[in-house]
Amino acid sequence: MASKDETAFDREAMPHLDAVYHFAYSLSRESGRAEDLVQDTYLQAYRKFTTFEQGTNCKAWLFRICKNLFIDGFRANRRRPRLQSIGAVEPAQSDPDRAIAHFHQRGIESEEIFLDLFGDEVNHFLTELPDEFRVALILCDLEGLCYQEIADALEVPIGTVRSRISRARSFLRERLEEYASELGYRTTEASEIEMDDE
Amino acid sequence: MSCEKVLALLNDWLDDELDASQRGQVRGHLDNCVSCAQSERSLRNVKLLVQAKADRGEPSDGLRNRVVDRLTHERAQGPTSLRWTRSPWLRAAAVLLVLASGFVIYSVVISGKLPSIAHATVAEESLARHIGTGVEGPVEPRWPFETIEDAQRVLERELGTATKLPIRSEQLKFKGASPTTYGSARGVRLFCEYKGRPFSIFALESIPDEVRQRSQCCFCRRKDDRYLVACWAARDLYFSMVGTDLTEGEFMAQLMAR
Repeated sequence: MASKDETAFDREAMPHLDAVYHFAYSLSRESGRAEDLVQDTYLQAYRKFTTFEQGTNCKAWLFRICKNLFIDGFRANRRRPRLQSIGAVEPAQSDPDRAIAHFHQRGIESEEIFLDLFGDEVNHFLTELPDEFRVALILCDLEGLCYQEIADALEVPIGTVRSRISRARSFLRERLEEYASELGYRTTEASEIEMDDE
Repeated sequence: MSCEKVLALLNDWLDDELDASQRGQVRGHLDNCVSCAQSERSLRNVKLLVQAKADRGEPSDGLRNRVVDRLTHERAQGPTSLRWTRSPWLRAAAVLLVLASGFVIYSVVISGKLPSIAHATVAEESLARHIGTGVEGPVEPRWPFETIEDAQRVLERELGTATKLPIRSEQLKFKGASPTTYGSARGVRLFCEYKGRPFSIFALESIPDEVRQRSQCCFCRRKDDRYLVACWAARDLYFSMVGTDLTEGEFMAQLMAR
């Protein structure tokens, strides 16, 4: 690699090291494995940097390399990613009336309550998500990638990204609402009824 | 815009994926529909919660350094075809090769013998094995230098001055030399020390069959990673340089440190 390319690599790729780690962690959920993935990602990125199209999103490019290395690792270990169907957790999106009713009747709309109420449960529910759904959501919410960038990183159509994020949030919302209900939290509608009773 | 349509677009709305027209329509609907506004807040809170609570992991303090170290190592090696040009050690050996080639040309003029032409490199393991088992005896160098002092003088002169390499001649100490063989080829092994590290330079009088018909240089190491070899073969000369107790990483780190 020419020195100008090495300089460009340092400028383009190195600032994303923490983000690549967070992404690797979201994939592997193991700190040691995530760090190995980061090192392998940067080594491969360095070797392939001449194929990187300057001006495009380097972070998404690094994520794509990282994701492919992660999948290669699965293949090497003869371990398969967890690819359970998420259809069961989607709250009847195919039925618009039910979906509307779900939103209107069960929504938890208090930000303060939401943020105070949940802690590690969020991570627990995130781990329940199939890998591809969790990764899409994390790339969106934590890494701030747009749908197209996520599609590029994961090498899937943008419609698939949109669907995964939507289903992942629906799944999380449902789980969080169930948990809140177990804690005795009541929706606004229920509270209003209770207040009326008083 | 209907409630159904707005609800279908809520994730795009939250993730700023809508165009201006759609955003305007969704905003207008949310401003006038309590139910959809409540749903929007509900979904927004899920996003906020993920952002606030999700465990992203924290890289260890040494991760960045480890990545940099691996890249530094990779850079030091460079493309396989060019790696030797980046190493002062190897360039020094190349200088020796040129000098020795000149000697051969001189010999040809004197003796009238035409050396055969061959390009060579060596399979990694083969080279390391052969060099490592070269027959060594008392100091009786004959070729390509007349005496050990001749070899030392040339090396010091070229390393220290003519080549302007970062290798300082005063740091390169000659510990001795002995005749050696590599297959059927005879030669001299110069035992050196650079910054306290053992280092050998081989000069053989001909290219053994094992290295004939190969390219001109290679960069080798044994599987145990404790043996680094660089070799050149051209015309009827064969040189190699062996760092006998350095790992490749240590060797490259030394080069980079200079």
